[in-house]
Amino acid sequence: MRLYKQSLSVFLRDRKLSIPYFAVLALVLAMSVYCLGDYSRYGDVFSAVRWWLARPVIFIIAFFIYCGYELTVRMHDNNMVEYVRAHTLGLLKAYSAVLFSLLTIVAVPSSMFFAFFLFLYHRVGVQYAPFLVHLIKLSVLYFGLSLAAGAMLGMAMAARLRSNRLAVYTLTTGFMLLNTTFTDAPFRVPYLVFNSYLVERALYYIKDFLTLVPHQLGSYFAIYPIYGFPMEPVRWVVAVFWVLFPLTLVLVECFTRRIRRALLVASALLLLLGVGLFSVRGSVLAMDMRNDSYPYADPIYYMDRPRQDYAGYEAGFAIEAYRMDLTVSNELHAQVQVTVDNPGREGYEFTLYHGYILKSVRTEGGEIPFTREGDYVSIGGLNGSDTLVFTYHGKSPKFYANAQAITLPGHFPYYPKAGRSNIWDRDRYGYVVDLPPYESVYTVKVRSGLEAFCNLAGGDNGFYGRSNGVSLFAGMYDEVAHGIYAEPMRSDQPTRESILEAEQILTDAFLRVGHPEMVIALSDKKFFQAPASFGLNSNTDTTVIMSDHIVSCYSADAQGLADSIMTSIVRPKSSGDFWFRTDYLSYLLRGQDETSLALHQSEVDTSLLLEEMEEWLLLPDPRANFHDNMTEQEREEFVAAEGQRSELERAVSEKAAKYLFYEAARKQENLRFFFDYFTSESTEDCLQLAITRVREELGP
Amino acid sequence: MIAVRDLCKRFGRKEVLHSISLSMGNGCYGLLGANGAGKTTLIRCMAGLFEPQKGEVLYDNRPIHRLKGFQRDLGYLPQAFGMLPELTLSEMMDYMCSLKGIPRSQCAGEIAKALEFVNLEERARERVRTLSGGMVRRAGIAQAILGDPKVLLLDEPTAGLDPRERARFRNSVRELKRDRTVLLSTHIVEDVDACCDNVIVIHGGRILFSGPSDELREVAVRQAGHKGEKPTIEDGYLCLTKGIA
Repeated sequence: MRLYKQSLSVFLRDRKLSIPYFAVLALVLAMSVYCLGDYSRYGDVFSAVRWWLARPVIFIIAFFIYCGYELTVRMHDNNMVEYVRAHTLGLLKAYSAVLFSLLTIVAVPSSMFFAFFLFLYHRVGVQYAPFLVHLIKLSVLYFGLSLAAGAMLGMAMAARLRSNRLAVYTLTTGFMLLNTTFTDAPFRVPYLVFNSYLVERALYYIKDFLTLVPHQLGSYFAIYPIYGFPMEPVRWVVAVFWVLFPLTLVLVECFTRRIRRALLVASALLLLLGVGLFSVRGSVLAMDMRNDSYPYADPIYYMDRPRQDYAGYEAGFAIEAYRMDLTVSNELHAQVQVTVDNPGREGYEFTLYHGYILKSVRTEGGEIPFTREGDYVSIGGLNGSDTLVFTYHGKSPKFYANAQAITLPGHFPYYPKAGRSNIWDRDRYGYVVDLPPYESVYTVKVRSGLEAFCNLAGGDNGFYGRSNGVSLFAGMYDEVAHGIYAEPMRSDQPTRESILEAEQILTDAFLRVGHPEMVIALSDKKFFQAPASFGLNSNTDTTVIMSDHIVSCYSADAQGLADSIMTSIVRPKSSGDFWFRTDYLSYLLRGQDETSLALHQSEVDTSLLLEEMEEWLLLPDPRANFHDNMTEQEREEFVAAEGQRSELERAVSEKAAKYLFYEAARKQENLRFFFDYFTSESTEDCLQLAITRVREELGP
Repeated sequence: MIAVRDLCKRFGRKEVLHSISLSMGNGCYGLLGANGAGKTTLIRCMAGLFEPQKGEVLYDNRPIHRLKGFQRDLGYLPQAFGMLPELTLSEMMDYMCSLKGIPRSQCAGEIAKALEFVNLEERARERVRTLSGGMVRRAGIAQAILGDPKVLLLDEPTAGLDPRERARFRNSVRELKRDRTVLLSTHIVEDVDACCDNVIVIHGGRILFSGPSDELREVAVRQAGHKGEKPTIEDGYLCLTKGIA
């Protein structure tokens, strides 16, 4: 106790330590005030905590490395170690005193953060216990253990590197840089040089092991309320490791040879255990610039592979029933039994996302051989059996399932789906929504520490019912109104009124285009608000309507929800129809509201439109001449020609759309005509068709 | 009381101590040797800081690494000694008392006694950073005698002391050696001459001489035929080391 007091006195009396320390405490107060101000202004608690507390905390960790080092190293600087060691467990006592002093010093800002989080919870006033638990865990992991780990690292460096400040501060700087987004550019260099992501992955792997706080948050990606701040089990492992491992390095210095050897063995085992546990981390929401982080992994995966098109593929069988036993721990572990309606076939094809490692496929007669080819599983005959059991585990970088949250939408093949279907559409840059046209019977059991929400009936993580897709959500997620499931921490939660309003907008549109049979009773379906991350790397699945439920990124914005649903129905024919189709949807869904459209302000100059249409038709498509071995000059010419064509395409599209759907006498017929076109299998070019239609309108 | 038996110490391939055997009872022993002779290594082995590759250090006929109480009976002043400059001298002594496991109730008395012994009692409330180098050295001696240890290992205790303090130190050692073993490692022969009844001469990691001071003086007479004035310890030491050379 006396040693502890004196060690603490040393810290407080040393101006090089105490003045910066009190400045840091003042900084913590200031950060808290700014965080509160940010929250009061913008209403996004995650963003406020991310910007003002989570991101700067790495600098506070670095400060505690400095404190840990400078407080410990003064025993070496002042030649105390030798005579301290001459006493029974002298160095252990002295280091323990320093350790407890450091923990006291760390405890003050940690307690301030903790108190602030309690206050923040009170201020937010959501009365949502998982959010309170999340904030408490956040304060312990990001603002407690991480700071303690910083102090321990400093202490260990003092014990091992002694007064070699150059080495210590070089390592500290490296550690800090590895905890920031600084690494994004240098880590990409191996790819640019060798055209391989292997080294980048390895570098990020090392970086992850050193990352005490994920600093990428806020640089590129938002915090999604369903997930909150990343606090997967592996992060706790890493934080505890970086507290314990330096501690063993310090202890090694305190004992004589025999115990020292035992401690070295213990620290080596700890290192192995840490790396081992880190290696089986499973599903972690990687939100940075690495090629396998969630926004990039799937696009890169599918872009790098030969194009496969399974549109219109007939499975030749249907799945009547699923019995899904899902265990969600560090990743998804699944045992899925499917019952097929046609057991006499010679072979069966299934689609299962490639991130899931298929361990076995069994029938009642035992294990049967299968072949796995990316997202597809091929098996032979079932030998009279009509059931198959797939056992697999794995993860998707985007549709994750781990100890922190589950976001598994029904349209994503996280369980085997009949036949082969595309998962990613490279032309439209998004996930393909390919739902079975029939319903299956599902029995789902989810083993997880989280309360799962599902479109099927049931509770206590057991669900049963019929649908054409099973969606599972968990985390900071709840039923916010009857039949509406959302992230309670979001300010833009969907409401029954907004869903009804969207339904009305869509109904009006379907009636306008003469398709009353397509009217969707949105309010009859369960509504699952998807995290905003769903829309980040895909523009095709922001809203997915399944037979009994809807999964949508849209929320209180009824118009946005209606737009996104109509977008999923009015499918593009090619990448060239983007502008025309976008304008078409605007006129279809918002055409009545003339004040909302700037285009309404002036009339289309039809003679100019005809001229531009002629010019566009005569303009050769530069893409026809594109090839990989173009010279620099050819490439420049290609870019210029494509830009010119694209500009003209946009102008023609906008004007043609305005004329056809707003000014023309037959505008209702035109809307109807193009609705039929977009929902048909027609392969005709969209803009060509528009030009023909304009010419017909204008007459000879 | 404290003995060294067949002690060998190596650092990598370099053998610093070669089969050293010594035995010391109460009294003051001067460990004489040139720089690099192995004095500090021997003292560190005796303090239990270094583990020898061979041999052992015995305290009351028992190996020190098996004796839990040895370090409580040991006072040690290393060659390089320093203190935490932010603490007062008294706090620093209290820090040392904690390390030595001296009960809290006895600390104040022990600290006062030790500081008085080195003539620093008036500086007790001053921060260590305000003390001169000599004072820090004396404080080092003070911390070594805290708790009344039975064995005192002093490595270059007079380095940095002014002549007056050295004289005072010599007197103090005479007082200390009465009921304990004091091993005083130095290359300043006058200190040994003034305080020590016994001398150990170490050279190249080997003990050249171990015995009463007078015997070392006799060596000078025997080996070099010293005539005239009474030979000094330095004469004996030089004869021994030159003879080797």
